[in-house]
Amino acid sequence: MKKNKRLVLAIMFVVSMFLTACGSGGGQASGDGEGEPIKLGFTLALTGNFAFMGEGVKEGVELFFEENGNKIGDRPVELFFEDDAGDPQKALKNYQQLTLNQEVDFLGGGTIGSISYALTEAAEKDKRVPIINVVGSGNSLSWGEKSDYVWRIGFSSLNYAGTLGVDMAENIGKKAVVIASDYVAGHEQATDFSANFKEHGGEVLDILWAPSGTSDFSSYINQIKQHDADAVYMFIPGADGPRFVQQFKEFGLAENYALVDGGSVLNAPSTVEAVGDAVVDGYVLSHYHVGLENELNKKFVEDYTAKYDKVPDNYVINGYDTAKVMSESIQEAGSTEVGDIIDTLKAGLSFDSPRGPIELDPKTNHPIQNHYILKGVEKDGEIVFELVRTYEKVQMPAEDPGYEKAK
Amino acid sequence: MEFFIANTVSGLAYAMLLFLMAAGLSIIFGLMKIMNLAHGSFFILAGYVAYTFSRSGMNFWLSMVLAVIVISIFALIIEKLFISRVHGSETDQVLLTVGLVFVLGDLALWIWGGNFLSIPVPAIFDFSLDFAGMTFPAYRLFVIAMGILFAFVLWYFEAKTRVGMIVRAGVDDMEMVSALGFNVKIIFSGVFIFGAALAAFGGVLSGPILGMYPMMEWEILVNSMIVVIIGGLGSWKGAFIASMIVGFVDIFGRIYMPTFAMAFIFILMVAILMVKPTGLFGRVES
Repeated sequence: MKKNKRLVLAIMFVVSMFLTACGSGGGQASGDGEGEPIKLGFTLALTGNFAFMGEGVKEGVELFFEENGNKIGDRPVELFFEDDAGDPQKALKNYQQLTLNQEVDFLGGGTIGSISYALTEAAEKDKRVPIINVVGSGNSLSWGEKSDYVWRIGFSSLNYAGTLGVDMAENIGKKAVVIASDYVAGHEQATDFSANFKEHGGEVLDILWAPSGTSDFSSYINQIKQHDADAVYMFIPGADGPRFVQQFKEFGLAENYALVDGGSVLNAPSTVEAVGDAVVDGYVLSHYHVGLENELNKKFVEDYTAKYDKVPDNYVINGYDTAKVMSESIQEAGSTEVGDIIDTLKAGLSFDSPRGPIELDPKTNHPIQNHYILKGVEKDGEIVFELVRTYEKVQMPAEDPGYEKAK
Repeated sequence: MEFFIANTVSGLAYAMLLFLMAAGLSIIFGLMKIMNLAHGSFFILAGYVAYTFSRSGMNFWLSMVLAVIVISIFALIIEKLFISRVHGSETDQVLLTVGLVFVLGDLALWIWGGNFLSIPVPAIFDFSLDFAGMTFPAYRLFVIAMGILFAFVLWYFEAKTRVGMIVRAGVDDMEMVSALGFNVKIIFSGVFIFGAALAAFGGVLSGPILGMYPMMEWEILVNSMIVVIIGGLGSWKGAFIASMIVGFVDIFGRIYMPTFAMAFIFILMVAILMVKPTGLFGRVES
């Protein structure tokens, strides 16, 4: 019995070590400017499955303030990062803690869609703090669920899938099979893609729904082979995505069908590392491309690479621009009062980002920005993505276009 | 017809992966009455370890052998340190091994990160076979062959070897076997490690197809449980047949009734349990 007790104690010790190690760091006071610091809070997925997204955003935010002397105007900036592990409940707790205890002036969050909806609901109710939605791509955040207090800096499902629908019909092929993860975002993407693809003369031969967590795609691949299509449109986020890409190649589909991805899976560095040349010849759409030729991007990539020894991705640029919006709107408002900041944002904010010019559209609380079609190529033994086409000033329609739901 | 054949082969390959996942769990529970919920963790850890070896330049086969050895040693440590303390109490076993799943999962996240990782297909199987208008990856055919080979090895081990006989006897009457002079503790450790090694072997084999990512151990565990419950506890034969059933139901369910793909398997499980509560090949406890 005594032995058992000792064991329990040992386990408790180990567990408590883990908990301490995982505990989030408090505020990072920085800067040596005048006056009260401006407090910026973030609830991000810093552990768990979505950690690579949250980490990217965090790095982007930190890089921006490092470049700007940790100041907004002449006031120092204090950053608070809290981990929600991609869980909306934890994100709401962080939101309460950051807004009530730390009394932050601006909040960033929404690494995944469900969190951005949860934060939007809370912000609309409390009206305590302006929020930048760092990733969440649900369309209705620009329409029915829109809140004055929440502004998106990433992209929307409709912008991604719709632009790809148009591009595919015009440049890649008129006949497509769609495969999408069987959950809300998958249905939204399939609907937006199909509607735009058809509008431009495309024909959707079949739509396959793969449940989230599908590990073996062979039955779907056999079904795709039944169709005489030019291209396959995929929206399969998470770990299922790379699996599908790998099996797509393994079963020889890559030779006969162009693979078009609306879920930012193909060009993720981790996918390229995991599945290698299976991404070659695949198309993907992105609101950022590391090879963009502009001065801001050159500096951004240089600084980021110097600091983190890797190349920035979509999430880093989202974090970077989140910080930019916070900084710009506070300076332009000349105040950290929530009402003043919201008024400034509503008057329309535009700026140049490494991703190209951005205009925050007050009709949709969504950025009007360029979208880039990228293609995987093998160059000197390395797999990289090349810019093939640019769609300039893509914007969200002010109202739900009411597409017929894909089934 | 081609479509049907292609899916049958796919189903078979998936079934063999399921068999390799579940066989170890079934044997450990059936023979030792140990509910090892950390089974999926062994499976995925083996994949991660093999990934690390193959990244350091080793070929697939060497990585596989080393990963199986590493996981076997790891399982031995786990058995000696933890499992051996909770013999006879299933509740304790469940709590202990669920705890292990969390700890090992966090450990893996810490070491290998949260990204999807995949082991490259071994060079000699890195091609596709074309016949009658179908394409089939050679590696999957290899997995089918390995599954069948392992079923055969298990049968041989259980039915034809002295060790198999002792183990079977130990299940029926441990005290008697012990009285006859066999060291039951060693036998039990041996079976536990063998089950873990089976999981490790399956984990590495599935690496090029399923890959590895955080929380995948639960997926593996649930799949293995379904197979074990349908097949009957402690029977490799049951695990083999159940894997085939689940594999085919899953593949064809996804094609002909896509919305019910997931529910289908559970409905099947309920149906089989209603008719035969011990599973297809499970033994009735006296």
